[in-house]
Order: sequence, then C-alpha cells, then structure tokens
Amino acid sequence: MSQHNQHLTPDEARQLIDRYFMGETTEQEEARLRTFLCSTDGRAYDDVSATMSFLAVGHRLHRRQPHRVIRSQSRLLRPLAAAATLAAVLVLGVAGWFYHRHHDLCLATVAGHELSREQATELMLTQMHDMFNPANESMP
Amino acid sequence: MRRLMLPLLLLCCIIARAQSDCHIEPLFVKYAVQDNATEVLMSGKALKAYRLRLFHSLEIRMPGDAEVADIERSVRSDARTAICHEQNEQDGRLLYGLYELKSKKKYAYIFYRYTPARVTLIYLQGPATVEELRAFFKK
Repeated sequence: MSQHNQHLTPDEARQLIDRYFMGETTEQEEARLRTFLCSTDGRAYDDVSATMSFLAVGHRLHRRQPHRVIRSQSRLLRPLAAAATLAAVLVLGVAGWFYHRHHDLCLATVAGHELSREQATELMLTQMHDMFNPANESMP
Repeated sequence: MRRLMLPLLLLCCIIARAQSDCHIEPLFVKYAVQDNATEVLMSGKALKAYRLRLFHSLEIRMPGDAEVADIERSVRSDARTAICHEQNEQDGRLLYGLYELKSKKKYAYIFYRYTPARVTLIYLQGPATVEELRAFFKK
C-alpha cells in the first residue's frame, strides 16, 4: 500500500515505462505509473499516457463478456448451419429428381409454334411407328 | 452465403451431368427453332403405357447437307459407346440407326433415320426393352 502511494521520480518512471512496454510490469506498478502520469511531473509523458489509455480501452473491450457469449453462440451455430445447408441441398436434390422423373410433360413445336397435347401424342406415335416400320412411312 | 456456394455448385454439376450424358442433346436446342423443324418432348403419364419415361424427338424436313452431317456426327459419337441394335449405311451416309446407350439403372435409346425428305432423331428413356418397343410400335 505504501509502495503504491510512494511518489515516483522521473528516472523510476522512465524505467517503469520501459518495463511496461516490455510487458514486465505488475498491476501495482502500472497503477503507480498511472498515478505518476496524472501528476504534474507526468505531463512530460503525454505520449506514453495516450498510448496507455488506448491500450487500456482496448484491453477492457477485449475482456467484455457479451463478446465471449456471441462467439460461443456462433461456435454452437456453425455445425447447425452446416447441417441445415446439407439438408437443404439434399431436399432440393431429391425434389429435383422426383420432379424430373414424374413430371408430366407433353409438348410439341413445329417451326417454333406450340401444338396441343393431343397433337404432340399423335406426333410421338407417328414418329415411333415410322421408326419401326420404315417401309410404310405414314407422314407425307 | 459462401458456405452455400460449394454445395450449390456440386448440385448444379450433378444436374448438368445428368442432362448432358449424350452428344445429341445440344442438337435439340440448336435445330428445334428452325422453320422446317418439329420437336416433341414428352414425359410422365402419357408414356407410362409404353414403359417409357422420356420421349424427345427432332424432325427436320428437307434437311441441308450441313444439318444432316452435324446430326449424323453426333449420333455416331454416341453410337461409339452404345449397343447397336440396327444400323444401315449407304455410301458412307447413315440411313438408319437404333442404339441402346449404356446406363447403369435405366434404358436409353437413340433412333436415327435419314431420308432426303427428312431426318428424324429420337431419344428415349425408360425401362422398356427394344423387344417391348418393337411390340408396341411395329405393325
């Protein structure tokens, strides 16, 4: 406690600043350094004061609880999202396969003009008949 | 969205692979819009009686030499890997061909017929055998 309140000399302060940026200071020493920087003697170290403030804010933000919660939630959701994507792809694939296999389609076009279902069916039968009976071709 | 890209790309590849397993496929798109062309596309109930799933035909009346050569080339490309049930040629020109495409779980056929008046190309898919098709359509 007494050490905390002890006033730092400029030399001691310089040493502490060096150690601070080397990451070697304890919390108590950092507290003493902050006290010094806020004092009249510390005005000569405005650049150090600004850097320490900036780092302190960053450190505080990094340790904020909500961030951790969000990150852990996203970690939990990641496999769920992957599973949902896979399921959606499978469902689309199966639906597409069923549609392709069972979809009723009956269309014929002559010179780009669409014919009726009956005409399409008739054309199909005629073409198949001609294919298997080339001698008696039915179409003109 | 980036996570969806790979599965969607795979799905597209699977669908594209299923649709483009023969060389004649692009011919339907290429020639069906011509004034002298007739295209028929059927699937589903209308074909159930013939044990077919898909019927796709293209007929070109009074075809030009380039058209015939193009279609014949594609048919011959598919015929190379198919079982040939019937084939007639005259002076190097393919007049008639009936081919069964090799497929694991389905039957697929290509019929080709050329006369100076018309060239007909038919693609069939379904569980019907050639004998069954003959029985259905030969009189």
